[in-house]
Amino acid sequence: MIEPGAHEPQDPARDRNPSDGPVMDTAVPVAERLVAGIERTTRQIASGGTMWTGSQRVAIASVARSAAAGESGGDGSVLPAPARTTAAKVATDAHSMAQADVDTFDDPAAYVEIVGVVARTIAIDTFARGVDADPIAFPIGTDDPPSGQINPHARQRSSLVPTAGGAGPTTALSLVPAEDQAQEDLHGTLYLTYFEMGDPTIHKGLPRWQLELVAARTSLINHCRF
Amino acid sequence: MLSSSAQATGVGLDLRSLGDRERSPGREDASALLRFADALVGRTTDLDDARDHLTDVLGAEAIAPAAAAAGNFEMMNRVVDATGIPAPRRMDQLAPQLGLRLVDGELLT
Repeated sequence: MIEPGAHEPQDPARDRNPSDGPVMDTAVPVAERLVAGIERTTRQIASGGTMWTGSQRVAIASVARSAAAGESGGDGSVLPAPARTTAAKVATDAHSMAQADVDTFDDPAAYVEIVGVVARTIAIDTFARGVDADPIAFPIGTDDPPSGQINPHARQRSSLVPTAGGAGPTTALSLVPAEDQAQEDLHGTLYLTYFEMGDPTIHKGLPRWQLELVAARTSLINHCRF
Repeated sequence: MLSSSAQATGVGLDLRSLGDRERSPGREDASALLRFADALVGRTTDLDDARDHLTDVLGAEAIAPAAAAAGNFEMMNRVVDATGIPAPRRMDQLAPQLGLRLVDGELLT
């Protein structure tokens, strides 16, 4: 069981100090590695990004969280309108995204970073709902300048955005290495590491076939063909 | 991959229950997991009941890993869809085994 956080934020996407403890309050048993991995994800989102500042990334998460809950808004006041629109659309209608959505941004890295932040936000929100916990609060976002560090080897191939190597689930965000690494980290936390994916008999909280059953049903509900 | 992991561990499962939810998967644990995923990802009002049922069938320790698996694929689905990663062609061939129909490029239940 996870101990309650130090406070109950009014706006959990924006109201947490970095020194606060874990904020998942649930009667469901949760493995320490899950708690630690989710904490890393919230810190990573609130830290300075590649094209967006930490405070803008937390705002992206806030907009995505509201949109997924069927609410308008979220605290996106620090974001330009295209970023707010994209965050909400990736949260609710990712399968409808098109090249025009990417081309809204001068640099596709800005779009890729939004996709990564939104996708991880929805992932940890789904987990929290599943274990009957409140949405997990983010630390206060930093205002350090974005790093601008993209993968110079990424090229436009068969997907909407440039990728390093063939376009696939594990390279989708590779234009922005920090997002690529954050996705791999959370994938290993919530499900299996990329290495563990090669073991059909692995048991990680549940046997592999049970994990895959939930995974497959999730993809079908989302109309995703992977 | 689900088919491979089920076979590797000797689990008999009717995969058509994934797409055809009127069909039983043939196992109570699988049925409870599918019900939980439906409620969690579909954001339906019976999530508490589905969680309680999964607890009854597999124990409270099953909830977090099941929720985490759903969370991971909520992430990956959005990443591949929003970046336009081409779907593997084998999915079209697998559709009937999963209780699905492929119509105009869309998988339908």
